[in-house]
Amino acid sequence: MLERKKEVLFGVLLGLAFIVITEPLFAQAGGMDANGGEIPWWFWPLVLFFFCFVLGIFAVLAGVGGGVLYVPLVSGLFPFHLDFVRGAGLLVALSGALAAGPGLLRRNLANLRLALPLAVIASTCSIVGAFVGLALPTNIVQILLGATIIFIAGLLLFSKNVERPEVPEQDALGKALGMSGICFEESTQEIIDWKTRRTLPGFLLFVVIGLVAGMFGLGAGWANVPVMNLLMGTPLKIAVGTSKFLLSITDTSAAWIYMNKGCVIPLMAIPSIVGLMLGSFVGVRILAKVKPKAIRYIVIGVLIFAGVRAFLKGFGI
Amino acid sequence: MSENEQKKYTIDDCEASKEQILYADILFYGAWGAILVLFITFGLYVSKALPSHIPLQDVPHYWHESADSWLNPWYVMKEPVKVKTGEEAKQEPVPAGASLEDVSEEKIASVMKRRISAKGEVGIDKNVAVMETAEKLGLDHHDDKVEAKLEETFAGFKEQGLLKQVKPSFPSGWEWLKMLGEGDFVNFIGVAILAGMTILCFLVALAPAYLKQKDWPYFGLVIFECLVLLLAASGILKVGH
Repeated sequence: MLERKKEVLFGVLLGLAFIVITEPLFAQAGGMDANGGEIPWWFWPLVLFFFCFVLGIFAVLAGVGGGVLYVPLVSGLFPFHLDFVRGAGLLVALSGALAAGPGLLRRNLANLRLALPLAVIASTCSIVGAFVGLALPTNIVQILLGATIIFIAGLLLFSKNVERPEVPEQDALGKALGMSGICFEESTQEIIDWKTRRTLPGFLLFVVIGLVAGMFGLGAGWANVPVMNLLMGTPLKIAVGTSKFLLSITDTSAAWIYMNKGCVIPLMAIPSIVGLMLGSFVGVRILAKVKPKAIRYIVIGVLIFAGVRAFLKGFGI
Repeated sequence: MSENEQKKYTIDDCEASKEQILYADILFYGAWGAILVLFITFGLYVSKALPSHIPLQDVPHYWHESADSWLNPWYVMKEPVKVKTGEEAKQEPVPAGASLEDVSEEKIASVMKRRISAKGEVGIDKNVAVMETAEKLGLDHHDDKVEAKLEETFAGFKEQGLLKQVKPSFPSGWEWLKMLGEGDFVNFIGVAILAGMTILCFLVALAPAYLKQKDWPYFGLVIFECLVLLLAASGILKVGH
């Protein structure tokens, strides 16, 4: 318990140090740009590429999606309007999910029967979320984004996922839709027979998840997994795999809205996508060798401060 | 779960369904193909092998404003007026809660000219010019009458030839398809493939499989999802700040 407290404190302090050290550098560079255009056009895309590369590594090590880190940090540290950050954030989350999808589907770690009903709800609501997010004044979106990011950090800190939740009996809706499956657990050589529970409340929460994903361009893995695992009772492995696959559908609808609205500037979106994907590849390789528990707390620390910063920025502070 | 229940299944039962494997195959080639296309087209764009609709060196001037501004053309004053700077500008009083009737047309024109001139060679788009002018005059730019009046003033400047366009408008929706000769727009090919993969996988892998299995609830879900995604992709739905 004491050990965990130390790790949390260490992570939060490192997160604070990261923001404190980087912010003046970014602010100074931004000033140079505004004052006379001394910075060449390739400066920010290049910085963004390396930033996203590092972000990709940290995201994998911390077990979070790229979008949830990308939007608050890039909107806070880079000179881009929130519209473009959200548009690129959705494409970052989408491309990561599309690249991971085939492996998850082939190994049956993402389940189509579980994903489809949730995808229909979340993707429809993410369109509504995108509309609301683009129609609201930017400062209001900043405030809501800040509050959401702080909530996510709390969720990552306190949520305790369950490897194999007990579901004695499936509810009627889950049964009617056949939301169940079988998977093989390699570590224990067991065949796991799983089914959903509390399907309707799960559906209702996916309404909220879709709205938030569309509104802020965050991706939604941080919310998908606890809802599928803790509420609906799917094994953690299936929840994680299906969540990643689900993003490829949920984020598609919102990405189209943002793209059609002109929220995609290739000069910033493409370095973000490529940087984060390459970073994720490197992150997976590092993850195979080390178990960096503290990284998760560092990321949570960074999220808390990025959230507070977005919140204050919304109030013009 | 009881032991008897576990014995009902074998490892073969854990295999992914045929439609799931087909979905994975299409997604694999499509997603990685799209990322390869992104690499190539971005290379063509930044190497200036293709001409840019908006010159690369100018893009950083525009990305701090909203997407609406990015889509609009930007202007500078052909003959900029003198602008107060620094402390002088800060000390300039801003009236609060003024009404349109209190402000003369000359005052509106004068303030708007100064707002446009203040942006130097980078320029300003109509929406920001209207918003900043309203703020300086103490008017509410969300008021339809105020907005219409200030837009009319801006349009008047254009008619009188006082403005020079420094940034062209940027097409929205699917208009980029007509402009694939320009480096900015070829990048959208890869993005569109990425965003179109789910629709393709649903139509090719899932819809026929569920139809064959007569799994009507899931067939309905697949068709509904495709309609939702096609509606989002169509650009029919409009939204703005």
